[in-house]
Amino acid sequence: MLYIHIGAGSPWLRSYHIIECDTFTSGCAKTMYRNGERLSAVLVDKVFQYMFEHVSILQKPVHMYKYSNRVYRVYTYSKELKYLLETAISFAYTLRKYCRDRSCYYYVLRSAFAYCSSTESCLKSLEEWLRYMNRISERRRRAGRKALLTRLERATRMCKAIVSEYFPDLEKPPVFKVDERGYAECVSNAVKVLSRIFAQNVARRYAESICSGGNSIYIFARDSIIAVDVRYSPRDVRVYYESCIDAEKYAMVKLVAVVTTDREVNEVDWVALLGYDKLANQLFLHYVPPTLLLADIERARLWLLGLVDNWGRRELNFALVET
Amino acid sequence: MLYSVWGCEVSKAHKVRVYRQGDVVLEEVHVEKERLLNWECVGSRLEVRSENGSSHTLSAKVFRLNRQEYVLVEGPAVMEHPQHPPIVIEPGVYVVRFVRDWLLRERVAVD
Repeated sequence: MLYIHIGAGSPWLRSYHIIECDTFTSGCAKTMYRNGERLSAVLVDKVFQYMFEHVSILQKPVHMYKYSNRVYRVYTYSKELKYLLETAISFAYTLRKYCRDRSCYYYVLRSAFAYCSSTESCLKSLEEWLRYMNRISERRRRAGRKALLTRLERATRMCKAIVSEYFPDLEKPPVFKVDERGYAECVSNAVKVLSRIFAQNVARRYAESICSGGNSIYIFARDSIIAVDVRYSPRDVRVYYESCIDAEKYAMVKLVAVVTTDREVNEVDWVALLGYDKLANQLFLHYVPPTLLLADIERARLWLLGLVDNWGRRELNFALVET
Repeated sequence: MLYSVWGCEVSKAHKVRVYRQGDVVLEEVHVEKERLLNWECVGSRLEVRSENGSSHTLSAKVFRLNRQEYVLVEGPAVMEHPQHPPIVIEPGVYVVRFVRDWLLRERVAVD
């Protein structure tokens, strides 16, 4: 006979652990400690708590035991139970995407588990909610991607003046196509191109990075602006200006390379800051983490100085003096 | 309110001084002078070469710990570079860093 052991963890401390065994004793969790499925309790805990409380099939475990900071409930294996667990896991993950606040979370849980007196009706209810939440999440996702493209197009128009004043070459930079046949060839070709404007060691590090991340067009600036195309499949990569600033000591534009399909942003390849140091009469271009895609341009600049983290949060209480 | 950093008591309201000249960033760190003097002293002048060949220079003792350079500025000192205006550095201990770049970051192997 086969049994399903569900080891309930707790959020932030212990994951959930689901295993199938031919024994119902704790020996199963001990011998199968490294096997089975592990799920973050932060994601699934509430859903499983509702399941244990409301779903009749889960209310009567054949055995219970504690092991490794989890409480294991043991149930006799059935296809129905297995399917219910799979559905509940997808439900938990989708719920996380669908709900923006706690009240929504509890509302959906209460509504979905109101029909869980029988396994069949419970499954039906969970599946209906799952379909509904997926549909709404998809609609929101597409709306967000469309809005992002609109925002980038508008910002690009607004920054045109600053770009044509300080970075006229950016409109049509020379594009160097790098051979994409293999990583080694890509790196050696990219180094040849990049060493025109960077020292050998910097050119190599950039080359390794763009060839491993790859499949995009990258922009580099030193005395002039160049573009390096390392696409190995046809992709419509476009560079937009997300924001720009013309300050006393520098002018700067935040560049975002995205792939669009059907008038929406499909992928964000990279985010970079292109600037002109007015005091030193020098161009600079540095890449920033994509998490700063929508962050304020000044905050993204502070990331370059190591003063904010990848999400733009301040790491220090600092007084900055620059020349 | 005080907290301790590397043996020094620091007020939470204290603002860390950060200086930037071109690509070079000096960030104030709280290290006791006695402790710093135990580290490897690599010179009495900081010289950081920029990508275009010229150097950022600062007259201050330079120490190294774990491949990281620190400077001990004992009186107001000036960091100079031919292409940038000079910048006055207040006394203190500073870690020498460079402007970072997401593509040039150290990659961490994830298994």
